[in-house]
Amino acid sequence: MNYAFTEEQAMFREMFAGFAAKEVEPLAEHMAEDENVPKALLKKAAMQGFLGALLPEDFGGAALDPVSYILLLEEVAKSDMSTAMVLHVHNSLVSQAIRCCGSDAQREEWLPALAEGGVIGAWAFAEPDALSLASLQTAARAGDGGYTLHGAKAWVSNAGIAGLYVVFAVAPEGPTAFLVPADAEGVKLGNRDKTLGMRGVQIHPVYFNDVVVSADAVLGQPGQASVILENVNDFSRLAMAAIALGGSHHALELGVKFAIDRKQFGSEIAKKGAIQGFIADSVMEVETLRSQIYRCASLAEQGKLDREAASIAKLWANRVAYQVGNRMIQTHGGYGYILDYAIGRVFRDCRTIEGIEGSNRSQQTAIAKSVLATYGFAA
Amino acid sequence: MRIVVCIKQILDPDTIKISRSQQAIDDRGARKIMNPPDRWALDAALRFKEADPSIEVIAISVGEPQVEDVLREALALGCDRAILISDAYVVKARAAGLAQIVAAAIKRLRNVQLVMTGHMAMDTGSGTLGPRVAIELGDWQVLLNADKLSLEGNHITGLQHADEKYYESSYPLPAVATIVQTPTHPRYAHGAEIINAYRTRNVEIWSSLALGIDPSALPAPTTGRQLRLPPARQMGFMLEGTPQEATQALVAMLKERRVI
Amino acid sequence: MDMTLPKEYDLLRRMIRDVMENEFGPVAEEADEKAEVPFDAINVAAKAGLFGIPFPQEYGGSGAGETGYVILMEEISRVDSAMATVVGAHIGIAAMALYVDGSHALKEKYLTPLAQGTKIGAFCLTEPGAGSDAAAIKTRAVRTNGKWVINGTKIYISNGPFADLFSVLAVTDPALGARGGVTAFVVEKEMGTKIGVVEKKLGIRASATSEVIFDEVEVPAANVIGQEGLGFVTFMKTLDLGRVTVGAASLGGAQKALEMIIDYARLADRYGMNLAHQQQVQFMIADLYSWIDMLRGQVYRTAWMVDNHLPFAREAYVCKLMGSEIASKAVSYAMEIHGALGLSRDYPLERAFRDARIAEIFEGTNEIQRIIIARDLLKEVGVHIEP
Repeated sequence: MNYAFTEEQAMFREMFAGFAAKEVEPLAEHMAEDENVPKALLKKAAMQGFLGALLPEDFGGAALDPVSYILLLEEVAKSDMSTAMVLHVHNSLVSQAIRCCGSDAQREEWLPALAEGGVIGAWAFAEPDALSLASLQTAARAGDGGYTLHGAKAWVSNAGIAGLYVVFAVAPEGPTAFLVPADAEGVKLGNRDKTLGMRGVQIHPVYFNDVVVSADAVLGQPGQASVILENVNDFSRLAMAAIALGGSHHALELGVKFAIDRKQFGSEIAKKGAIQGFIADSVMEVETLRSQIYRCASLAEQGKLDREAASIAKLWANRVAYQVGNRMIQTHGGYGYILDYAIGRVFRDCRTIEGIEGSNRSQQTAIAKSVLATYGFAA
Repeated sequence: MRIVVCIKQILDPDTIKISRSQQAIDDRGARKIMNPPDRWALDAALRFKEADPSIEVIAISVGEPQVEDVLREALALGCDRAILISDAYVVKARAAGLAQIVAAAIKRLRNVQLVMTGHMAMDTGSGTLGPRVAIELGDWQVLLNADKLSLEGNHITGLQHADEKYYESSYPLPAVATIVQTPTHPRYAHGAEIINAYRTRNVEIWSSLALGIDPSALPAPTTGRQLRLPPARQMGFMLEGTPQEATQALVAMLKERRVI
Repeated sequence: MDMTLPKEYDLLRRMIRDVMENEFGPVAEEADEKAEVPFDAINVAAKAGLFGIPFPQEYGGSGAGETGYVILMEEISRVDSAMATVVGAHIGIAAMALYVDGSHALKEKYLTPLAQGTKIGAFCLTEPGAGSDAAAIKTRAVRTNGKWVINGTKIYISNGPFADLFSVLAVTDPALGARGGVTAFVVEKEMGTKIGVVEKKLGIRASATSEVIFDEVEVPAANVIGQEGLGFVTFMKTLDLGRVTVGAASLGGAQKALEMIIDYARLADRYGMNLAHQQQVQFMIADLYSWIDMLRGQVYRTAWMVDNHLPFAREAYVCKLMGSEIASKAVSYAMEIHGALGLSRDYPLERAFRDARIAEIFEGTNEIQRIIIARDLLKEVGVHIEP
């Protein structure tokens, strides 16, 4: 058993941290206020290879191993969770799906553009009344050697800046994924979904109003959308958990620094037992989350990441992010409630994690099912 | 001069359920409130009083002792007096009988020039109290379903709602006016007046005997035989084809149903 | 033991709910987003007496006592927690300081317009170095020519930017400090108070919070609240009452969140199953209901103790501590159950979540509440603890 990073991973981590501190951190407050991750920042990220983080060098990617990629998200999220989220949707979902399941032509067409940041990817899966493949309403009618997509997608992250959507719709063959350029006729953005936190991420409903696509736009095989989800979902959950880890770490750091600075009743509040309790509990949670995430990343590296491990990471991440954010804003007292201090924003972001890509309830169900199955019980 | 406002206590329609047998209202957990149109009527009466402080506004209700609560609310909102007509006989009165009791009380009060009430009781959907009281009082004029009221000289003027039209009407006093709800929210009672309505002010309790009403002579109340829910609404349907075809189909259908 | 509330309180509650739903409900979301105080609605509320519910009618109040006041706070918070902060700061602490220790003349002059809502009050205690440690205040009042001259800066003052009257705590004898050297004053805006930085806040954004600066502000000797040197006691008594308020406001917020959960669970399906039929959701509903029911008992019992002149300080700490934590939990559960909808700023839960968070912080952080409850209990067995 070896828990150490490789030399390369350690070096990457330092580089990611440097980028986050220099380019992301100074903009974080402004991005939350402006509710936008600026193009200029994404361009800088692209120059570093972060928009093709997981892609092979042939496609202009940085070819990061899963552990390094998880470190990238964690480090960026320590400065700004929104920026990390934009990278995550683009890389862990869209680029990964095309890389794993796309045709050679699709890879040639889209991956280099995604890697250099000319095209940002968005994932059009959820619908107002559907969070799973089985309940999707968006239809793909067959005809003239292609399909016509019709339906509404909800909570599409990156929608405001995307050049390419991966759209999930029900074709005659069954649920199918399609690659749809944002400028295709009939694609329409709804009003921005304004959210509690992660305000830099541009989330919109997206309407597909009789959008005609050719058969070449099918990602993978018709009726085989579940194959794509199997390929990306577990890793995507892990990636979200890594963002939560970065955010929790950030909250903890802000709280600890404040506790050292703040004096009440004649001493630094860092000396008070209650505050030390907050810090200890939070560190315990952050570190166990970190262990689970790195373990999962290492499993991913070996191609062994499973639903159960990823769901544990995401469920624990949801809870840790909220609890640590909550304790650290409490440590700030009244100062925590004033937006001049970063903790207010981080607290909002930490809570928002829970509502994205799998609620506590769905993770619980996944974990329980998996455990019960090992006892031969089908829940 | 005196203005009488007739107020009914009803079960808040938002808080009632229909019993399983569909033959009764399940009022467990239901809230009792002032019939909303009556609240608008009271508000209009109090506005007259604000303009002319010599006007005395008196709220009247008929029913069980607990109806007192809406009269306390009327006091809190600014009424000068509140009268509850309550005894074993009057609680059974409906429609015509009720109007006779209210009219008897109004006659007893003297100098009442205007009787105001809501255009409809929101629980039963009945809107006959105003006109019936007018008849009992000796065919007073009735300003029916009105808003935007004004009191000038010896006349009450208002905008009457009838179907989808409005008529400005003016009647000499004494008169009865039934009031419709408007989007403008009626006044809120002041907190102190609410406290005083219960702690320092009185609701006068009158009985039919004191009003000289012979309970045995009251018209028999109507009785219900059966209750039914309205039929569920049918889904509409789309007429296909070009606008011309659709129009022709529509006309044919309306003729068939003898609408035109 | 009759625990039913007299009927006037039912009517009072209905009136307040009516005002809140009609006047504040439609504007609350926009006021939060733009961080603007909804003054039009506030004027309607003032006309209905909402700014003086607990105070005696002789001083322009409604005479509904602490019981009426907790009903007020409960109902306000169902709709708009920012308004609960405006009213809580105004009634619960600014005017309350005058009410608990002010002379009859001072009450007639200042409590009356506050209770009528024609003037708005603010409570000036916190300073940069004196938050939880209130005794550490530095604002100084010096007697000169029969007047007091006040110098100092107060921070995080709710209602600061638009208040007309300020209840202010200042050091009058540094040698004595909090034990006899601190005095409470009522200061008019016209005497020369200045507004410093107006804070941008995480929540309760439709209330306004700012620095209040006293730069050579001259205050008549008659404006001392209670006795010279005993201001710390006045302010602490006031804060005891304020804690009941926080509990009541939390009760309203928690109750509303529970109602939202039940309403949503009844209608929404997740993964092919109605939420109301999911056991985790049912347990959350049952737990919340139990906590809220206990909180209601605690809040109304404490209000009853206040109205009956019984000692209530410890009960008030419990109101604030448990109330704020139950409210946060309730909103947090509601968000969890609503999923992405709970995060949307187009839906009132998101605002409720940010708003609820303040209750664990202001009027003494929950850590301070815990320290004081423990100190109180340990003192009884002869153990003295330092915070």
